Amino acid sequence: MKRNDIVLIAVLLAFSLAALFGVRHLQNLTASEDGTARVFYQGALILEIELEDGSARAFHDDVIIDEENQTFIVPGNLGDVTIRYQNHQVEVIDETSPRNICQHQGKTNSPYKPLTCLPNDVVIRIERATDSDGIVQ
Amino acid sequence: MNTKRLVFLAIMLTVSIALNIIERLVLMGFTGLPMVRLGLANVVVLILLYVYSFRDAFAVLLLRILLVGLLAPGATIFSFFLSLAGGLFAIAMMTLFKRLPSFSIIGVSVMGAAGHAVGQILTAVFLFSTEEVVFILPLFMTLSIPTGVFTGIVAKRMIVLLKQTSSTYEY
Repeated sequence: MKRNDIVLIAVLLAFSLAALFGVRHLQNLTASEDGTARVFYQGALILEIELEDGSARAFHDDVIIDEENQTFIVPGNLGDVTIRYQNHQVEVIDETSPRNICQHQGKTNSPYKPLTCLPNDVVIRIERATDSDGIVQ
Repeated sequence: MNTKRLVFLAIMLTVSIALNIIERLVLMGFTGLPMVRLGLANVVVLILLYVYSFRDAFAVLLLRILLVGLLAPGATIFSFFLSLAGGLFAIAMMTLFKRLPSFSIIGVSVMGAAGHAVGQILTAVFLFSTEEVVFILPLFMTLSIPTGVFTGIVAKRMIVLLKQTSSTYEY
């Protein structure tokens, strides 16, 4: 290993760690307990979950809302995607995909931590309550 | 292309496909982190870049991605495009940094791994028009550094072994 390799690795590491902690910090700063989780399938809004109490509104016929367990089943390209609401946060607990990325993304209540199930074309975005200034997406 | 070279490239292609599929199946089961791979198949691309030429490395890379896309269990058109973008970014970065005299194979390998991460994330952003995926990039970049160092060390060792085993390869 040459000296320049070490410099390169150190610079890359410093840069990525700074970005990593920056993003984490931003996610913590923007965490919202009274926002709305909006679930999109193929680009269209299909479900809204209120982070304050877990109440939900469906905009698609195939969405199943289980109010008792606070779980929601939405359609995905490869099969159903199960979302759970808990403690003002939402997470994907079950879905069919090669790498199960969105299950591993954990819980979210920050606009800067969307949950993306790419093969299923399902995206969960968080909108803060204070952001609702009448702009419709 | 002589027979020896053709056979060597065919073996390298087979090895890279096997490594890629085994990595997908086994390693993920243990780490639980589906996106984090050592990138052992990239060792093959690195070796070919150093031992043969960009053309050979590029051909083996493209064939590997295509064949893994067809053979690997659970592979989808999405994973194919993500692999393709990752692979192309990685080989572009490695070729670029290999030309700079100030970096060894380990630096080149690290840049390849970082390029792979950037390529995959950028493609995901364009392919699915979900720009929020960018927030995963810092994590991928951080993880790509140790895996890049590891694959670089493996490739370096492999090249030494290849040279020791046979003096008939066309270096």
